[in-house]
Amino acid sequence: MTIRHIIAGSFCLFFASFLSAQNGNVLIKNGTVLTITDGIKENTDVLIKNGKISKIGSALKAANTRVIDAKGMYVMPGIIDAHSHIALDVVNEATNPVLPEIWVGDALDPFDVGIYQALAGGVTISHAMHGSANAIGGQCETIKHRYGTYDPDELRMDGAPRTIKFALGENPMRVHGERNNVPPRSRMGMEQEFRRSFAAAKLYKEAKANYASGKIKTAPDYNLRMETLEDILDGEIIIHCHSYRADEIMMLMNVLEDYGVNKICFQHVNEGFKVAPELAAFGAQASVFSDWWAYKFEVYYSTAYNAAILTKNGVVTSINSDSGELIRHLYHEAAKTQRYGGLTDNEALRLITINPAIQLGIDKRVGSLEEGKEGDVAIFNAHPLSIYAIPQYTIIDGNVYFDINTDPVDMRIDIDPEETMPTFYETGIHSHNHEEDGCMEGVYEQLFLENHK
Amino acid sequence: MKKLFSLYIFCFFCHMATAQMVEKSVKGTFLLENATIETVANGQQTGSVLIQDGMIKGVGSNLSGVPGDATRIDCNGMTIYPGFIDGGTRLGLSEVGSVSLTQDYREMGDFTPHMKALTAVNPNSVSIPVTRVNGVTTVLAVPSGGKFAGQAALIDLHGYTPDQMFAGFETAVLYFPSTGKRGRWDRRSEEDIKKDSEKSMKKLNDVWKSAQQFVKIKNDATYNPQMEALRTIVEGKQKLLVEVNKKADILQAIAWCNKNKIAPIFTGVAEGWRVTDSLVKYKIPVITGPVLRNPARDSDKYDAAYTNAGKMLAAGVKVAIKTDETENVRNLPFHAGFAAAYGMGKEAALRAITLTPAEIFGLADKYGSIEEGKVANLFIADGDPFEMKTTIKHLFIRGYKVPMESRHTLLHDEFLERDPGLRQ
Amino acid sequence: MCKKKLPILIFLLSFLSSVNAQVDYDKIPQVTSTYVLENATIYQTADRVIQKGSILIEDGIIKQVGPSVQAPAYAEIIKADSMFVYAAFVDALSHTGVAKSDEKKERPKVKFPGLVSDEMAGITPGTEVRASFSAKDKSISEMQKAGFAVSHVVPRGKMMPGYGSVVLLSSDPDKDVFLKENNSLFAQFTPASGISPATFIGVIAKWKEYYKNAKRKSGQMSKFKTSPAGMPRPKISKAEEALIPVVKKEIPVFFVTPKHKTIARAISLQKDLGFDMVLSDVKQGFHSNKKIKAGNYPVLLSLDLPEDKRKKDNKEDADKEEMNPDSKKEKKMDMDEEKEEMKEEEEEKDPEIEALRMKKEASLDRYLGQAAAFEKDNIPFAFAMINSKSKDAKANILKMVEHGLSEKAALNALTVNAAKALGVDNLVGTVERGKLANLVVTDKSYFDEKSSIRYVFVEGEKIEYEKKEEKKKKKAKDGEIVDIAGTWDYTAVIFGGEETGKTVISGTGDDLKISIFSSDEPNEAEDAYDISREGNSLTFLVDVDTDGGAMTLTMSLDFDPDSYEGTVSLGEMGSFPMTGSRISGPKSKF
Repeated sequence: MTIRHIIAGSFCLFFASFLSAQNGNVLIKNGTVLTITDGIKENTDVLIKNGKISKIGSALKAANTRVIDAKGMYVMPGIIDAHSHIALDVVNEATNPVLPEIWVGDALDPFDVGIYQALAGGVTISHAMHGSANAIGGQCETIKHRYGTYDPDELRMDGAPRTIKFALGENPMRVHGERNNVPPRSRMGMEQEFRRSFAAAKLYKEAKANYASGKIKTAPDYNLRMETLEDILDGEIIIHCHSYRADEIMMLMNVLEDYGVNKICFQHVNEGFKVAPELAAFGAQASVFSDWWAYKFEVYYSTAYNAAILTKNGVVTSINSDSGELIRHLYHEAAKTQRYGGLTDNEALRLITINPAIQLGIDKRVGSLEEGKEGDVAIFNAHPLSIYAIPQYTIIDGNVYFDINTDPVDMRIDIDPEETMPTFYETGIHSHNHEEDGCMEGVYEQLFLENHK
Repeated sequence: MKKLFSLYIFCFFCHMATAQMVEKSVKGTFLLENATIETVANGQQTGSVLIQDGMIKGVGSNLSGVPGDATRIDCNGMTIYPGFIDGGTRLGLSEVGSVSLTQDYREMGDFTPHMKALTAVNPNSVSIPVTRVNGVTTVLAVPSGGKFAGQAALIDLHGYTPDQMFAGFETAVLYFPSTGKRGRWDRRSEEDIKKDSEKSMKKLNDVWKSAQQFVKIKNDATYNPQMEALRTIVEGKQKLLVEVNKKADILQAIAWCNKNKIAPIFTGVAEGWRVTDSLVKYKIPVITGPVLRNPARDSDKYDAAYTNAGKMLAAGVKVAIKTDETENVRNLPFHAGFAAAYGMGKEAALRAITLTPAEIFGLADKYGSIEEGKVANLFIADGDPFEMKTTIKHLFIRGYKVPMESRHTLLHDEFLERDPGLRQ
Repeated sequence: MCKKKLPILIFLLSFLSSVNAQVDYDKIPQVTSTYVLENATIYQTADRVIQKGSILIEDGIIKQVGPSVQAPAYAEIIKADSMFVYAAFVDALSHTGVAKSDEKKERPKVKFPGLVSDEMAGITPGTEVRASFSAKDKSISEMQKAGFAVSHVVPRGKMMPGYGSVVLLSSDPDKDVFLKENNSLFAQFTPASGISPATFIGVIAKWKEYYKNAKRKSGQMSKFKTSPAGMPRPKISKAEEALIPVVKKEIPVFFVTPKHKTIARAISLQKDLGFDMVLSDVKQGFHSNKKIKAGNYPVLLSLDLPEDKRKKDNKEDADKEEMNPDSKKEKKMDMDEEKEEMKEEEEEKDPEIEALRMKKEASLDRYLGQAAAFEKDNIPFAFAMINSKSKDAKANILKMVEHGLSEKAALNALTVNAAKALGVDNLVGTVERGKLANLVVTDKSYFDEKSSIRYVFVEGEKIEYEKKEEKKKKKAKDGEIVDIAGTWDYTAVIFGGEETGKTVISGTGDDLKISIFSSDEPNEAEDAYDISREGNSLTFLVDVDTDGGAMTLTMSLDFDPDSYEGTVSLGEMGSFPMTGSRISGPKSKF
């Protein structure tokens, strides 16, 4: 070992040392605190102890606690992205229109430097989703951006409800109908995928009950697909449904109503504004882009005023990224609802905090700054809805994961042992190629490109 | 305040009354009074701007010669900005991203410098009104694909034919051979990439030799539109747009342009911050962007793309900003805003989407600032146009007062309070 | 389930078969099968060394070992003074003897990609490796050459290729080499291509469903056996049935988990389902030490290491080139004065590149130091050759030793640890009386860089190797332009498969003609075009027909006087290493 090696080794240990030094305690002094649920508190301290917000008040003191001087800064809850595909090695298993047995939680990638880039945008939690190649797609995972860990399990937000990806419209129709030449090829066929799946799950459930009561002697074959569908029918899994057009949104609500399922958040839902009263009446939620449109036909008749119209109609709405680029400035995306629809500051901030928390079923734990909630905080040098706002610190469970003043330039933690100069990518915006949303990642390579290894 | 409010109510009712009619742009003489004027060229002023015959006829307080029939617009509390110019877009060349037959930005083949973007600009693209209501009045529509993809054209975002929209700058675009990966899906090895780029470089040199030969000799017996399209550039009379991003490629492109005595405008330039000295030394103007993109390398700082424009400017490079967008060119002020926040500063960022691109395109006498004698491309906002909260109140393109309307506003107006609402 | 055989039975059978066999006059008749190795340094185990000792080998067994042995008159005496004797190495997982199938890798055409047979999906846990194992496969002699006498061989395939067996790496085609049969299930995260499961998360879902069904049905079947009345006969698929020994923990699953993330995924799956698991082919296990230790998982480390270019050549230049192409010594283009100036500016040391290099080297050191880290953490491990080249085994072991692994731990990993992991430590893995006579004899300590293997014994069968000559690859001197005319062979490893043939080069300077003869069609030449040469680097294109249609290959080769290496590129499908050496020419040199 030369001295050079030892120095280099210490680079690698950077995270280990810096995280182990943290104990989940931090005191944020004298900031403007945007609580989201309890107004704005000027010149206020936030004390996080053992990972939880223990006190919001003035002149707080604490021993053995890192102090952040937030004078002149804005302190808000950690931003939550209800739709992303970062930190995943696989997004799509596209081989079947119905694949609820798949789980992207098996594919977590703690090495994705995109997690750090999201942290540098104040985002503490994201919903790592399966793609949209299937009517009923894989189950998703709600993760906390504890970047620096090597253990995929440490990214998981323990106790967060299970969620699953559904998808309507062009993506599943293109994959199965248009390319593979099997149903569904139309929005009519899409409906039947859900109906036959739920019907089968009901029969499966019945068979299990019959076996339990002794009516039949042999248990039905264990079927992971049916088990998962059964959990959806039982309300144990929140549906997050990729959707665009008003008619298909109505279709799924009708199907769900027939099966007594009501936990549904529509994703993208560019035409949600057209059926906002129906969404509100059903209790369905909406997670939308701030301004994406026209990248395919089913979003041609949409509007950047979508989030504002939904909000004003009483639909719990969030702004999401679906992209490793947008996730870095969701505060900016939320602010666009002020230009497109004139939402108030708090309405706009709700779109990236408490509302996505509600949609992921974690609003009792995160999404606002309240005593007792988890210590997930983003601190900005200016009001986060201003274009000039720059995130300064991002804190998860009371530990600082992004610090603009001390973080080194290169934050990779898995270094290719054979390559010195990391690859240059011509297209930095790798999730959005002007033709589709991020939900189709990997599908063509998987199904349609020969020579795919 | 009260007065303003009632004016607003009035306008609202006017709008209601004419809701069934298509709102058209209005040409006339306008006096924009009591305004703060962000001239860009001459700092911030207060006073009025007179628009007549499509041009800015006067700027300042106590303007003389204001016609009596001029439509007066009270801009009290508001600021007038020159229209934003996006130095690199696909606007008008693509309508729906996934529907290939609506895409006209790419012709087949590697060497198509004679393809004219202006030919394919759709004046009725739904994206055009969506873009301009955010204050973007002028964009460069750029073809892509192959090495010489065609001729980019500067267009004003108002007009019924491409020719009407044309804003006076048109030149060939070169996509310089890249030694980077095209995306995460690109599975070529380092050697493959090197080879591809060397092959590409060889072809580029061959093309250029032929083009030089073509200009040198006179051969009227053949029809050679490809070579003809490069004539002005070979002759040194026109600038060449060169899209190049990676450090090594930028240096290579500089050497190549020097060798062939080409006056380039570099676009993209994602790693410009690594080579500022060379860009300054060879006085190469840059249209950089998008600002809102991930770092090009995983090892780069998270804000590498945000800070790039500011770093180049600070080193002395002439920097304009582009979005590389199609339907969301409307985000140009936000790209500039991020550059401003991350080191460039507000004033410089504003210049980077107004006067600087006009200078780069050789149109500084017509575009990019609020000065007498310039084309009346401007808008009136109730605040800083980089801020999302700011509302743009009025928009003028070539002296036309353009309605603040787009598919997005129309859908909003129709669906905000839907009738029938929820069917019982 | 597992056929257990006593070694003695095998010997008896092999003896009988040799009596009954017909005479083959092509073979040199064996004079004796009894050997005495005399005066060697004998590593009975890594801890127990006899400085000057002897070994008697008879009937394939170590009959005696000690300071001296009684040599029978019919024994061949091998003077092993100054030689070192070790138990022959045990490879804990590989495809040795299992050739790649010739099947085309075409995507199967199915109507519903989500509805395919278990075979197509790669779920064939019941496949026994015996079916695809061939004692004649050349990989066996290659493994012997590297000192291995036993391999745990597994079938090739996708997610669940089948059962593995422990075999002797014998050259004797008549011998039953299976020491232990169907002792493991082989598994990997390899998806099927274009059909379900098309991703590793699909693989994991299949695992869960098949395993739980096997468990459920195993219960149903035993219930049915005892009280079938009124119960429909349980239906069980072949795959589910084959998983029952795994469910019952009769055999472990050898899971290929090279990278940190694959280890984590396999551990999650194992915890969920509860089978016995051996983490196999581990290359990046150094982040998982704690988890591995906590779960008490047996570990098989890979003998494949990332390339370390630090000593061989100066990587700095290559990297600098990547960032600053102007620092290249060979200029691709005419350079004008301005560019020359630029070059000078750029040649200053770039602190960013320096920092990146240090990080890379630190990472490289962690890979090279993986085995040492495991030793330090008291995690026992053996080696798996499954994705390693046997000819690199020793160099890589020395690399590990250089990075902190003790020779003792290395030897244990190569021998007794592997034997234990496979449950054959009563037969092999140490040099002890009664064990199979599986030995490696080297002329110096195995861990001496200059040592050569002189003998390998596989169950008493002697394989002798010539002393390795210090044949150094002739390198082109600085500035020397190699005359590349002549006939060369080539070997390209494309998607893991070897393509071989000859390359005939004629002409000089810029006027070169190159013809490629594939071994598959040795009489049909493909002529190269677009040939360019710079110094000793040659680049050219060749059109070939493949199953997928015509295709253009780009070859880039760097020549030394008698060998070359380089790459063959298949466009966006990637590029692959290609090497070769001179068969004949140039004549003028002599």
